[in-house]
Parts: sequence; structure tokens; C-alpha cells
Amino acid sequence: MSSIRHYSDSEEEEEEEVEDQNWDDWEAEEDDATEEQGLNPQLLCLFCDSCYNSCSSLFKHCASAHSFDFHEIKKANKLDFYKCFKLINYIRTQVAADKRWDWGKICCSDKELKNHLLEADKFEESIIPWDDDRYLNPFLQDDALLHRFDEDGDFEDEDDAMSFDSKELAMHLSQFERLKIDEEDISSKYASEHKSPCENGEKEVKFSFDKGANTANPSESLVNGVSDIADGPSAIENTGNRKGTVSCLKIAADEIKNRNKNYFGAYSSFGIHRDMISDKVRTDAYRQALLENPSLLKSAVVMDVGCGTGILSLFAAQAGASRVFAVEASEKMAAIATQIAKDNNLLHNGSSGEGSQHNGVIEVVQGMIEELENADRIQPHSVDVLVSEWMGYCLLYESMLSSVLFARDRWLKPGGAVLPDTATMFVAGFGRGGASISFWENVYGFNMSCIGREVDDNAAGIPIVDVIDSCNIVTTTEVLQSFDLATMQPKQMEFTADVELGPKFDAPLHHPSGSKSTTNWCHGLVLWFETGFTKRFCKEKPVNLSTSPYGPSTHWSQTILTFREPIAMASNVNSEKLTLVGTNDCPAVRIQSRISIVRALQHRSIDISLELTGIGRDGRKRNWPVQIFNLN
Amino acid sequence: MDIENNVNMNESQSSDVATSKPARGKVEFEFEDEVDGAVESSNVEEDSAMCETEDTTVVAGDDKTSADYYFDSYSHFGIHEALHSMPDFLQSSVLIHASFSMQEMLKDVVRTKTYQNVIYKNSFLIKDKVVLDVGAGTGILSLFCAKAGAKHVYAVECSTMANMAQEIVKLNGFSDVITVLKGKIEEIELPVPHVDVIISEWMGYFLVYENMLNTVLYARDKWLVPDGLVLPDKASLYLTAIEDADYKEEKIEFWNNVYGFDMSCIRKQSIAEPLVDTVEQKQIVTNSQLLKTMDISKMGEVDTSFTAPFKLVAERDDYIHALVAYFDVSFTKCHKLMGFSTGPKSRATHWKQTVLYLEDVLSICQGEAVHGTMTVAPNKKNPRDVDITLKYSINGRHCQASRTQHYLMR
Repeated sequence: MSSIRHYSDSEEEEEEEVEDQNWDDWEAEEDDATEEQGLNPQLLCLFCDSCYNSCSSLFKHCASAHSFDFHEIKKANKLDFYKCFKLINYIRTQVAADKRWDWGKICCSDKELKNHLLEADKFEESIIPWDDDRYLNPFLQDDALLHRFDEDGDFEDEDDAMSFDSKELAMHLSQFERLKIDEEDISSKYASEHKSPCENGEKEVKFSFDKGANTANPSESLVNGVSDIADGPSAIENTGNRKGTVSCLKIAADEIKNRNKNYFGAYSSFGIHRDMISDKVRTDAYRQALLENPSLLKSAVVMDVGCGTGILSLFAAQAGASRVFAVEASEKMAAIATQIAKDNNLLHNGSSGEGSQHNGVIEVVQGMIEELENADRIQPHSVDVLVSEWMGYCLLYESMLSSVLFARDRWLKPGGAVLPDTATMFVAGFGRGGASISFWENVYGFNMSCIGREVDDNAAGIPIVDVIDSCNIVTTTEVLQSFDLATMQPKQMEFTADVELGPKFDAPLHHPSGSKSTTNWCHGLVLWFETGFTKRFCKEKPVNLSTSPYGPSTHWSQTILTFREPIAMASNVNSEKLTLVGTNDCPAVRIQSRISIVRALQHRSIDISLELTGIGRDGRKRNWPVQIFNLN
Repeated sequence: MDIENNVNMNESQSSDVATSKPARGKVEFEFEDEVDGAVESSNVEEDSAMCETEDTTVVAGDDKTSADYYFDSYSHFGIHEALHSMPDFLQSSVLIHASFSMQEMLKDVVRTKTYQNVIYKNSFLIKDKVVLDVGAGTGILSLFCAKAGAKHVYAVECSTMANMAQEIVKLNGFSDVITVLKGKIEEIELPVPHVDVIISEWMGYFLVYENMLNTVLYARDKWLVPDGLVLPDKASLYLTAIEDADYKEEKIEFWNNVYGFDMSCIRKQSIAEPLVDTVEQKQIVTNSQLLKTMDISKMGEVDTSFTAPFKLVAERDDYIHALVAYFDVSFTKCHKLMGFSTGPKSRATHWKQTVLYLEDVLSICQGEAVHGTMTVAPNKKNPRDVDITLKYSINGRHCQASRTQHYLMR
């Protein structure tokens, strides 16, 4: 049972601090620091209140006083600029939270802590705890250290790190090649993407730091980037416009280009469009919302973001819209949408207005919404109804939500409608039938359970998109997060939410056979979403589009997050022993989980982190190590 | 002739659901049923040859879901290659994809049970022999051979699945009989100079799409003793014609009227994509024409390009919407001929059939024939993809047509 650690149990932490090297001691060592104070840009020590004028003296202090050798760690972990940036914010976060900046492991001394950090290169990149986009946000306002930690310019010198990264980059690129689906369909137009923010402008910039920091000529451009980031999120949004970063940015842009190629390429295969359109749950919801709310659509100016075949635009035109702008990034699909609108006599053909009522209202605009060059054709704040089918797997994976919000802020009239206008994510726990292991236990008389274990182990880091049968859900269902599309800001796409799940069936108290028969094993969590076309805009006919396992299945399926180890649950625990919560002898009565979703480095991807606490009937708690899921 | 076909693994019906796929838990349950019930009564065993059964009920629903696409993209042997060339840090996610794919293949009862029966019921072929399993995957065929008394089995698998196979072998107590070797056949060294039997499940969609036959032939030429055995030793590609108004309506003509809108411009392009799907027996309008036979134990090189003529004679008055390609595989050295068919008259396999929709609907009368040729070649731009060219003509009482259509399988 070595995996059981009490990660956040502060009492134990104190007990284990045998060598008594606690924070107070560190703070006492300020003497030499104060001498250097006085000159303007103050660099605050990562651990104590000391301030310094230069990074070198600060890092020297950190090394001597706190056994934290920044350069050593940077070298040992081959940290590029961007990871260093995150490391600094990570440490500040952890120190402020009075936690050691480690992996949840309790370190007895500075030395141990340092050694522990140096071991970090054994960890896979993905689980370095500070390698998380949230640490791109400066923890301190105007943290001067973030502007200057690379001032000795040693990022230029690190040939090792550079070769490492280019190798890694090559690997990435080879991966992308593999994923390319439909390259011929995407014109070279995306090559210019790096000049302007695409769907996720800020992601692009982050990417470029990641890959670019160790390549050609980083320092100048990086300083630019740093100040942008340090200025806060709003600045980040715009950094995509900077052209200073030349080659390194180009590489990053190529990656994103490939991502977009894959993204838009994948969507130009017709089978997928047929499947999406013939997903009746999806298409009928939109059809109802558009056709059965005449007061909203009649004579309205409509924009359809990511129109694909244009089916939603066609519905809007059918519903009596006076004008429909159908925006589509894929050239191939835009051409097809144009053809389809034309074939249905619904294409707007310049000045000549045609007779029929529905004639000529659709205009297909090809390009990514964020860089519409011919946007002057659409007046800002002139759109009455913004409609989009933007939802991805797990709602946010490969979603177009940021494009929808961009379009909303630029083109929607004040008070205009967004369809759908709400999105809600749900979470519940699933049982054994939802896990892989059961299949592999008896395959034609042979035991292949090692594959099931391996898969479930791997699944503990990768969300699986699949259909879960509602009979395999073993807990209550809770709302994870709700979005109001009419008011939300793009940054709200990243969130942390806490939910508490109980057993699905409340067994009667007098259950005859005691705890045994009421125990259920929860193997993981399943996520799904609903989007609402609510009364706010759809007054005549509100519509709800659900991808719940309790309803008819959709092409979104559900998203499965597998626990590292299953957790026993029961509502009625009679023979509770003082063993670990979540085991057969002491099932949890509730599972608390904290789920964070952030956009991942990989364009259009998301990372999901999951923290779990099982609560026994006596209120005892047990925490499990955090799990990170990357949907890629 | 009666075939146990109570459970259909590949299909699940859920009429009111737009896209449906059996939940994994449910399938697993059915699968266990199948194992219990089918040990002595598999269809493949009773129909030792590829007899065309009358009462096969194929539930052909349009249940191609996102998950199917997910499997398809890593389909079949593609996954081996993907696994092999992936950097390590990506392999865990690939393993998941691969395991789903393997799961699909293992759940293909026709496929797996045929191999099982060939081995168990013809142990004289295997007993005390040295066996080479090419592309072992989970090692299931090696396990069958070991259980049938093989002297030794070399299971060669180039992907990380080899590690799993190794563990499975150990778990089931065959470590002394089965040696798992990780690597490509072309690069690996066998500890023995010769093997008596080569077993492999190398077939791809449309038989030739992303198949592994080259590798099998390489192993045959390098290690197989003279008069050694290749299992299976014969594979044949067939063509037939079907009435498919409903599905052509749904898959192709769908685009003519999408919720009342005309999207026929998409139709033109989607008709050029061969569709891997299951076809019902009752849809068959003509005889089947053998296009190509491969004798795995004797053939020289794999013909990646070939042109074959066909003549499909109508067995009744009907309409023809599509031509359908499928393959049979046989093990001719068994005590009694054994094998399986992936055709529409047999129980569905994970290979399904390959449907090539025709531009025209051909009204054909009984006794009339569609003549033509089919040309198959690797795509010039991407040799993994397959170009298929179909030339056909009919000169009947109710219908005269002649046309050439191009398809790209990818």
C-alpha cells in the first residue's frame, strides 16, 4: 500500500520535519540581502523577503540560504525559458500557500528537497508539477524576476538543451506528420498564421516560447514576450501580433499550422460531416431552436461560426433570417458550403436581390474568425443572432468556443442572442463495467488481464472518449461547471471546480446483508455536457441538447477519466473498520473531487487535473495523488 | 447448416438512437456468453468451407460512431506500425488505442474461433512442431498453438504489444513453450534456423488494404522448411453486386436532401470513398465473381497491382446500387477444409465488406450480366492508400449503361 500518502495532511508533515529546517529559519537569513537593497527594480527572493538588484545575486542567495540552485535545476531538468518562467511562478505559489514546492512528497531538509528536485529529470515532462499553463500567470504583480531571470543570457549557450529540444521537436513534428489527414485540402494560407492570433492567440505565443527559447536568437524576443505576459492576461492575448521572434516563432507556427491542418483537414472528410448531421440529437436541437423561435430569427442578421456544410445557416435562412454570414475556416468546406447554399437558392449573390422570400441571404465567409480580412463586410455589432455548433469532446476539447466568444464581442449587437446560450458540464462516477480490465480477464480461455491493467494504468493519464452505459454509473450526478455564453470571458474556459459525489442508490438503512451488498467500486469519473437554448433568447421554444449517458447517444459520446485505483463506495456502512477509506472494509460514503481544466500547450487540446478525497462514514478522509489527463 | 448466430458482436440495435455503439460493459458480457456457448458450436467449425448459409441474420445498422472512426484511424495493422515508430512518450496513448483495436479483433468471433478450431481440431498440424507467429499482437494464436502441443512457438511482434504478449504468456504458464520476440520480422534473428509452421493473421480491409502479407512471405522464404505449413494458405478476393437502395439513400443520396436542403455537391465526392460496412445477404443480386486468389505457401511476390475481369449474372430481377468486395481465407491442409468468409452471406467480421457505390442504379433482369474490370493499385501519392478503378457495362432489356468510376481507399 505504498501508494497511500497523506499529501495534504499538514499534521503529518510537521511530524516528519525531523531536521527542523523550517521557513522561519530561512527568513532569518536576510542579512546580506538587505545590503543590496535600495536600487530600483527589486527582485524578491523566491523563499524569503530578501530583495536583490540582480538575478545573479538573488540566485546566489537562494543557493546558499535555501539550497535552491536555480541554474543547477534548470540544467538538470533541461528547462527552457518558458519552463523556468513557470517554475518561478510555481515556487511563489507554493511558498505563499506554505507548501514545499515539491511533488507532494515531504522533504525533511533543504538538502533533501534539493536532491528531490534534481531527480526531476527522471520524471516525465508532463508530470513536472510546475509544467502547467496556470503558472504562466505571474503570481506576483510586477514580478521583476520574471523579466530578468534570464539576464545572464545563458539560454544562448546551452547547446545540450538545444539539441535536446530540437530532437524533441523533431519527434513532435513526426507525430504531426503521422496525424496529417488531408493536407492537400488546406491551402498555404495558414502559413501566415503566426503573424496574427489564430483561434488561440495566446497559445501560439506560449508555444513559441516553449520551442523557441533554446533555438536561434531568443533573448531579445523573449524579453518582449516576458513583459507581455507579465503585464497580465490582456497583453498575452495580443502578443501573437509581434513579429520579432522570427525563426523560433516560425517553428511554433508550423506546429500550429499542422494542428490546424489536422483539425480542419479532419473535418473535410465527408463521413464525419454526415455523421455529425445525422446525429439527430445534435441537428434536431439546433433545427428546433432555429425554426421554432420565429420572433428571434425573423428578419434577423445571423452569424454561423464554423459552419461546415452550412446546415445551421440553411436552417437560419429557412427561419426567415434577413442575412446569414456563414464563417468557415476550411477552404474546402467553405467552397462546399457555398455550393450548397447556391444549390438551395439561398446564396447571397451581391447586389441583385432575388424574388423569393428566402433567396440570397447566406454569405459564406472563408477564413478563421479571428483573422477575417474581409470583415468590413460585416459591420461590428450588427449581428442579432450568433449560432455555432462549437462543442468538442468533453465540451472543450478542440472546441471553437473561443472563436464564438471572439465573434460575440466583435459582431454581436448589445443584447443579441447567442445560440446555444448556456453550456453545463456534468460529472458522475462509473463502475467496473466502464473500465477496460473486465474484458481482458478471460479471452478465449486465456488470462490477458495485464493488458487491461496496463490500459487502465495508461488511462489514468489519458481521457477516453467512449459511450458509458448509464447502468455503469455508480454515483450521483453533479454539475461540474456552467458557462453563460452571453457573458462569459475566454479565460473562464479554464476553471477549477469542486464536486461531491455520493453513491447512486441510497440503500435502505435496514439493508439485511450489511455493507457488503451495498459496496460499489468507483473506477473513475465520466464527464458530459448539455447546451441550452434557453428562454432568454428562445422564447417560443427553449431547447436542451444533452450528451448525457442517460439519454440517446451522440457523436460526442462521453469522456472517461479513470482512477489509478478504484475506490469502494457505500451509502450504508455497518461494519466499518479503521482501515483506509475507499477500501472494501471501509468504503467511502462520499467522494470529493476537484477538477481543473486548462488549455494544454498543444493547440486546441486540454489538460484535466483530478484530485480526489474519499470520506469515510466517521468523517475520516483519504486523499489520492493528483492525476493529470491530457486529451491529445 | 444452421448457424448459431444469436449474438452479433459488431452491431447493436438501438433504433431511436442516431449513433449507437454497445457500451463496453455490455459487449464484454455478450462476449463471455459467446465463449461459453460457442466452444463446440462455432459456425466456422460446422461450415468448414465457406458455405453460403441461408439464415444468417446480419443486423446491419448504421452505427458508425465517433468511436468507430477512432478505431478506424488506428485500424488493424496500421496500429502495429504506429506503435513501432512512436516515440516512447506517446506510446501510452497509442497503447490505449491499440488495445481497443485488439479488443475489437478478439471480439471478432469468426476470425478468432476459426484460428482456434484450425489449431485445436487439427493438432496433428501443430503437435511437436516449431511454429512462428508473425505479427503476434496479444499472442492469442501462439497460445492456441502452445495449447495444441507445439514444440516451440516464436511469437514475433514489433510493437510494444510484445511486452504485453510476453506477460500474457507468462501469466498463462507457457513461458517454456512460447518465446516472444520484439522486432520487425525483417530485422529479427530467430534462435532456430527453420520453422515447421508459420501462422499469421495478416489480412486487411478489402484483403489488400494495409495488409501484412509481404512480411509473411519474407518469413516463409527465410525460415520455413520445405513442405512447411503456412496458416492460412489461401486467400481469395471476390466481387458481387447488391441492391442497396436504403443505404445508398442514407450514405450517398443523403446529401441530396439534408433536412430538406440540397447538398448534392458533397455526394459526388463521397461516392468515391469506398465504404467499409456490413451488407445483408438478402441484398445480393448476382453471383460472386472471383477476382484474385493468393496461394500463400507458393506465391512469389505480392501483386500489389492487378486488373481482373468480372461478369456478374443476376439471379433475379432487381436494382444494383453497388458492387461489393470481400474475401475468403482458407486452411486447406486441415483434416477437413476450414476457413472463413467475410462475405455478406456469412456472419459479420470486423473486416465487414467493402462497398463501392455506383453512379447509376442498374435495373437488371434475371440472367443478364454486368461485365467489367476492376483495377487495384497503390495510390501514387500515398502508397498506403489503394486506388480502385471500376469499369462496368450492362446491356439489358431495361437498362443500358457503361461507365468508369474511380475510388480511393484510405
